[in-house]
Amino acid sequence: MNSVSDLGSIVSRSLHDTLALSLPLFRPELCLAVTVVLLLLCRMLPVLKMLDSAWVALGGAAFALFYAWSDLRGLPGWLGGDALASRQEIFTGLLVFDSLTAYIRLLLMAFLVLYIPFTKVSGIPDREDGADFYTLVLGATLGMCLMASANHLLMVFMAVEMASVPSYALAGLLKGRRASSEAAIKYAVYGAGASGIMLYGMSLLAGLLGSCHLPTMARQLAGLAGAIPAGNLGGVEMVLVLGGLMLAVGLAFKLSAVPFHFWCPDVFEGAAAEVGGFLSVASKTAAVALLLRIAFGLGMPVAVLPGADSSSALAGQAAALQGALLGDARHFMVATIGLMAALTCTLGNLAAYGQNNMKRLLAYSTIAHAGYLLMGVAAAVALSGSHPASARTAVSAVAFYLATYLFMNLGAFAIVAFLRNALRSEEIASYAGLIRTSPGIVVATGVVLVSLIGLPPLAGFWSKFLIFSALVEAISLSAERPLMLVLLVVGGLNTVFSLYYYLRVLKVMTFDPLPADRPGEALSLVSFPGAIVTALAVPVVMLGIFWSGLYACAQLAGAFAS
Amino acid sequence: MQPLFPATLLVLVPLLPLVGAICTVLLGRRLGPRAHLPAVAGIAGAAAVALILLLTTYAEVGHGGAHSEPVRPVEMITTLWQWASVEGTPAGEGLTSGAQQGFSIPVTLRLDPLTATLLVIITGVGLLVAIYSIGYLHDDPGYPRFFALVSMFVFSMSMLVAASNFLLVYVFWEAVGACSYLLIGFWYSKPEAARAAKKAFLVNRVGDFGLAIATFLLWMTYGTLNFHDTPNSAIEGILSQTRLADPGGIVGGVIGTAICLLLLLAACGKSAQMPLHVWLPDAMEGPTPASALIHAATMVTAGIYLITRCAPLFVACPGALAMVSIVGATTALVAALIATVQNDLKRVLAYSTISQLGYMFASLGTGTMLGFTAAIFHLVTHAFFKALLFLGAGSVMHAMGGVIDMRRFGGLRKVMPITAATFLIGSLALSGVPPFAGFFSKDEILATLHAKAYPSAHAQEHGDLPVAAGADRSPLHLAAYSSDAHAATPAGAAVGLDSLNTPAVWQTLFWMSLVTAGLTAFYTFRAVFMTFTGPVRVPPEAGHHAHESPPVMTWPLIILAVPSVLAGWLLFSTDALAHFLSATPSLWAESVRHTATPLEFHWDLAIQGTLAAAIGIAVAAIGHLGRRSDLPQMERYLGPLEPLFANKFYFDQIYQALIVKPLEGLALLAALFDRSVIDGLVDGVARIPVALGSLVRNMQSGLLQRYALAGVMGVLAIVYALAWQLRG
Amino acid sequence: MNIVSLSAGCCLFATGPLTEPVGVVHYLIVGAILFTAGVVCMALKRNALGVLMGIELVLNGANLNFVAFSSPYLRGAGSATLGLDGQVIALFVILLAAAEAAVALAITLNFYNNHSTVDIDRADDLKG
Repeated sequence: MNSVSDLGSIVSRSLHDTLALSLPLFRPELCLAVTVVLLLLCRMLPVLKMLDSAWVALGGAAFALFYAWSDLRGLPGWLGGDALASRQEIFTGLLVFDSLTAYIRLLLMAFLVLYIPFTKVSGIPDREDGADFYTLVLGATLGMCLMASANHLLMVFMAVEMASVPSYALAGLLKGRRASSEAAIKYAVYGAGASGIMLYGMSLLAGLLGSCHLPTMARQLAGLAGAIPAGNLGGVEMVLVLGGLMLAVGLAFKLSAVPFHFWCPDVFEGAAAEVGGFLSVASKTAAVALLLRIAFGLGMPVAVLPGADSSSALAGQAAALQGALLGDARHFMVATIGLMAALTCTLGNLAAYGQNNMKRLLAYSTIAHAGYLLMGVAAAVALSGSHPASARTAVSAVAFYLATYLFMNLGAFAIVAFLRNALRSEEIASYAGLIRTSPGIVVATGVVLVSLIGLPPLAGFWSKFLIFSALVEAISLSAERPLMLVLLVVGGLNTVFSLYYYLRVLKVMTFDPLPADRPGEALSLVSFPGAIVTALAVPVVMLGIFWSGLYACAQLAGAFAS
Repeated sequence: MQPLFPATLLVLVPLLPLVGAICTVLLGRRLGPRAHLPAVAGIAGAAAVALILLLTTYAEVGHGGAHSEPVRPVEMITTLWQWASVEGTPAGEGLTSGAQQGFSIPVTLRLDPLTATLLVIITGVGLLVAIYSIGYLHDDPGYPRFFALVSMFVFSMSMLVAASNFLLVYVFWEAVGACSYLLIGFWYSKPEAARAAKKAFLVNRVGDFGLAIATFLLWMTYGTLNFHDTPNSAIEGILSQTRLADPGGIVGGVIGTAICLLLLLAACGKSAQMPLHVWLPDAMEGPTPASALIHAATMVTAGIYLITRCAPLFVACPGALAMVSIVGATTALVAALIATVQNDLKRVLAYSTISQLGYMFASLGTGTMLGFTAAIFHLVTHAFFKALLFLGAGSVMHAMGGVIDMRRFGGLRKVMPITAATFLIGSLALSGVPPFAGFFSKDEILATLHAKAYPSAHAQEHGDLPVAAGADRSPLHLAAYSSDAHAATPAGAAVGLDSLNTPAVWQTLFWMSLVTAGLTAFYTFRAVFMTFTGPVRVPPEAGHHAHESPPVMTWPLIILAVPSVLAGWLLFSTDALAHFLSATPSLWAESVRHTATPLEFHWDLAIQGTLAAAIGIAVAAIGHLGRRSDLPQMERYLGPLEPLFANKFYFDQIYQALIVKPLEGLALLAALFDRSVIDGLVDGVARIPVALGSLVRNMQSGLLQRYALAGVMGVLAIVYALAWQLRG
Repeated sequence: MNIVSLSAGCCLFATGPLTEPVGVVHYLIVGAILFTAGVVCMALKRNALGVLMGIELVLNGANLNFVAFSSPYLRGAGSATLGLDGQVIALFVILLAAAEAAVALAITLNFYNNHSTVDIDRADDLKG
């Protein structure tokens, strides 16, 4: 009898938790889910077959964007308010809703709204594949949203898989092409292996810490560190490090960080440019968000846990104490992330030298940019223990970088896709002399590439500037001074390295002679493709000049790290 | 207190030509032979608005009558937007007050009598030139480009005179320079045009450099760059009414003199004063309408505008002021001497422009109210008659098929009567023959110099006047005045240049100016006689063009001829311009207002000036009237001086030897060093990433399981590095 | 499979004679063996299907860990367990592994259609 009423109360409580608390904060994801179902229905019902799947997908994405925007606006720190964390665990602690969730979700939805028209105009997928393609894209984006809000190891793994598995299929979208099938199998096998290793690492961490809930794991870790004198953890520490490294393997794969970046150039070259754009922008954004989630989830215990006495000051004190005890864990994470950042940035930029295929060059550029992003994350984690305000600034820098990166990299891939349609080639050499036939597109390319280099006055400059200033702050404030100094030097050198290979593309476009057999204008800005390219290149310029609005949003996202 | 109506209307003056320029750029090719429409419409609209603004401002100032009431300063300010804004630092030691205030650059336009006057000149002459160009350039391939540039120039120039901030002034100072560069090099395929454009650009850079440094110094000294007072800011604008009303408001001494000399350098560059005058004659390679617009009537007056605008700064530094006059009078004389032996009609006019600008500088340098207003007066009349002369020269050139060498044609009064008549009117005005426009303005300039040179004579003349022009006024009065006013200026900081401010110097300058007046009349009429009198001769290049120009070209000439005759008398007899200008805040400043004297017509000076002009015309008539212009000329009487004048006092050669050649040598050396040493280093360094890159790319074997292996090795490396770091 | 049995033997040797009751460590050892076998399989097999099987082994090794850690019976009273979380995760992983295998097999089929082989070493057109 008693147990029945218990069950009843559990059911009613979880119903309340789901319907009243969680689902309202889950509207963008719900929109995507509904759209996916609609797209599948479109294939099945003959009546709906008339409907172009791209418009269905765009409609769903637009709704999701609207909700994501209203979620961000609903945050307490919006427009100059107190930008403290508005952390709220939903779905019994599996997910967490806070400013980072809202910001990343907004980025992903904005990406979709730009991406779907781009693919529609570029003609990949064709009408036949449209429904499949958009189902996969929306499904993967749903997974990425979960990556950004994961608060539990189950959700971490599930989100990564939800984002990855559709991406494997996307890489093989061009079914009849040798390169595409090769790209798909490499991506699938490498990705599946990496996620398997990550899962094993998670099982070790979860088992040792007795929980899968990230904040609880952090508390347990602090408890372990407090119980045993420093440096005397022995076997437990070994297993923890092993588990952490295995977890890092999975994340590094998603981020295409060295030494797990090898798939990236091959997949980008083999897959369609449209898919490359998706993997390069959306996947990267979600992976960085997940890395922030895990690094801060395990490195900084949150003050208020669900069910705990939220008003007590003791909770805050306990969190501060635990935060101090987690110094070693943070040091480990900073060192790992920092080393990977330096390697990723350098190797990405170096390997981009001498590339002949534009997609492959952009793949290495993506790797290099992952390196810069990792530097920002490393600085943020390094600062989080002692200087939470500076850590917030560093996270804001990363968030700002992600937003500008969306426009510049999607712009670059869009240009590659449209030029492929016009020139039937993705080789850099085939762009020779484009300035004489289509000056508009060359200007747009120049804007995008110069922004990727990070030269003022374009958006890319401010993102690099903010990341580097976060590093400078970390040098002066945190205990990780030598590593941060190395990162700053490496970052600066790499910016110089990258100048050459980006500008080489522009040089080919402007100075090399036009081939004799070239038909007239390859691509005009006054056309649908041109409009898409303009819509992506203009924000790069505008954000370079008026960056404070976006930075205010990014600062909001940074507030999660408090 | 600020009337909204003229302030918002002011925005239209630069905006309409800008819109015109943009439309021309966008639609130029499509409009084809009608490409002038947007530009002409834009400039015409701007001219109409400028006229309305002038009348509004005039009404605001009110009629002076017989100095019945003291003039109030009139300025209307409209802030468009905040261009850049940097938060001030919290109060700390070692910072100037300006740095603490933060740094903001509002894009602010101002309307005051000076601006209103210049806006009318700029848009009015611009409009006539644009209309004239419709005929002049009718089948040029760059037709739309020309109109886009002219519109752009009118935009930049009107922004320059309307800006209320030194930084904006600098921006548009550069912008008009750029437009001028593009217009001089309009026929860029002609090597001379390209070279002339480059020369103009480079010489102007020297002046621009002065303005840039002056701007920095102003910011350091005053903590702001605004002319006007900013609301909510404790710092007074540099030329604001509050600061100007305060006798100690302007910084003198070494810093002040340095600022003024740098501003003078800038003005010399734009207004082609010695030693930076060398670009203007070469600039005649551009289309004649552009020469008329930029290099006679508008852009070259930017220097005059700048010094007038900064009048209170100069008045606080008597040494710098004297330098202005010395530069001006010397330039006037030298340019006039050079002009006497030039055979290229446009070059004669170019040197005459330099010379007349020199007059204006000489007048500005006196630092009196009369000096400033006389300079602007001369600027106005000069704009009319010099634009007329240039357009007349263009008309001649158009008819002669591009030939402009006066020795190759003659007797054109029979071929093109309208051009000849209007050119004669312009020449009479330029020579200062009464009652043409130039006579009155030149007479005022001579008067103001005379007052400086012979103060006692003037004092007697004005003996019955109140204290303002009392007998105690010595040439050093201003110096004494300014050093009194600046109790803050340490006595030891008296600037060496101030010793230039002596009667002897001023007397020399006065006589130089008088001689220049005679020379002006001589070279002007030499050109008139060579071109329009004697037997009719037409060069073969003229072809079917050898007839009067089309009405679209002659009407601007006729229109410009009217003010060339009347403007001087009208403006002088009513004293309207001087009264109007004295309401400009810069001239209303206590230090300038103090020197105001009532209008006076000096018969003795007028007679001297007219006599000089008459002698000049007479000599020209003896030498050239009715003769074939290709025969040997009067130059042979000049003896050894002839090559000196013909070679323009060897300025180009001296610059070539002293600056260009050594710089070229240095550049060659640097290039050698760069190519052999730096490039070698850079190439070596650049090869490192390429080599490393190929190494990295070799790791990318394409084999999946190698990738996995590399991943494992990578993790091991990271673990090793971590262990090493954790231990260390 | 020699390597697998060898490593299993080593592990058994390390935990001593089979006298003590079966605890969480034993499950972990089996999990580790599965994981190692999977990794080795992934690294050495040239057949794509074999590589996919290796991945399944890795996932199952991790699953075994999760289930073992979730059992209060195995870990003994007092120490923290994952509880139901571990078992739920295991179920989800089985599901995800199936989905992943389905996609990976489809991709392999597509690869076969284009290359007439499933030898992973033949996928080396893309490199550099």
